[in-house]
Amino acid sequence: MTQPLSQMTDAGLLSAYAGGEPAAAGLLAERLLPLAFGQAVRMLADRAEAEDVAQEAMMRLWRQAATWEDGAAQVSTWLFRVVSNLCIDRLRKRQRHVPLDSVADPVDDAVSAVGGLQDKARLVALSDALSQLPRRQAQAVALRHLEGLSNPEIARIMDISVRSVESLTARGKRSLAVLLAGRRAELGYEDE
Amino acid sequence: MRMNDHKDDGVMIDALLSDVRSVQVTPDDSLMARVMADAHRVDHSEPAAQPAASWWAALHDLLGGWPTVGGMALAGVAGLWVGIAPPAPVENLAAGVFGTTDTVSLLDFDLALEGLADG
Repeated sequence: MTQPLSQMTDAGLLSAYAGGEPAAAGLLAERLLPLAFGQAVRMLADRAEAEDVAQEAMMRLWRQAATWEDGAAQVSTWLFRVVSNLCIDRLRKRQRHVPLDSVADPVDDAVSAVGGLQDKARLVALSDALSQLPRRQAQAVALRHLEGLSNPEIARIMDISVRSVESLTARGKRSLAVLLAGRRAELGYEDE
Repeated sequence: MRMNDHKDDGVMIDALLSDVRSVQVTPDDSLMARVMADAHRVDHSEPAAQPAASWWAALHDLLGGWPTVGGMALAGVAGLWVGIAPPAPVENLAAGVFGTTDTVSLLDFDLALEGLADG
């Protein structure tokens, strides 16, 4: 008896999609696109850019489907890696091309995906600070503290040791504290 | 900067990370439509990209396979032999076309061949 699509794992759905079952792609997108898009918004603080990243990551997944090796990695883990790499690439370009003064400007409607000016201001402030961190620090901090992944999961995603993950996240947080020092009141943390 | 400032900055970063982590967003229908259009566009029946072939394999394919390559190798060996020890008809033909021919020995090998011919 064939397993219903809704009960399949992500890898099973990917295999079914590669085998010519379009409904499997729909289910997979319903499961994974919100993860990819949410991760991209939290890192980039920009809805349009986050949409581009999420679409690109899903496109890479579709292209991988026919050659996906079941058991090699979880699909969601693979996606976390792709999205974080794409986001870091964009953050690095932003850091190179945008003057520091301008990235700290008041929030406009670029982050229309989230409600509340305070939330938007915090998103943008964190994204701008992440863009100034060394690449691997930014990636480790984002995966640990924005996506809530465990250190062993991050170690697999970044292909480094758990100890290196701990070191990168600790240094990354210290760097963020330096970069955002003096903005407590602006971000609404003065009394906390 | 006072000690408390460092501590407060660390506390603020923890709070900021926690707040941003709690931000929940959902992709809109147009993004989902684009992603599904991409999924339908990918053709899994296309063969996977082949690894780059070696220069020898590329040359082999370019020339048309083993019969051509074998013929070229045989022609090369024959040409080399004619150059080293030209048979009399070739020298006579050359003399007919160019008038006279002078044979210049470039290799000791030629001397050895002449020695053999002389007995």
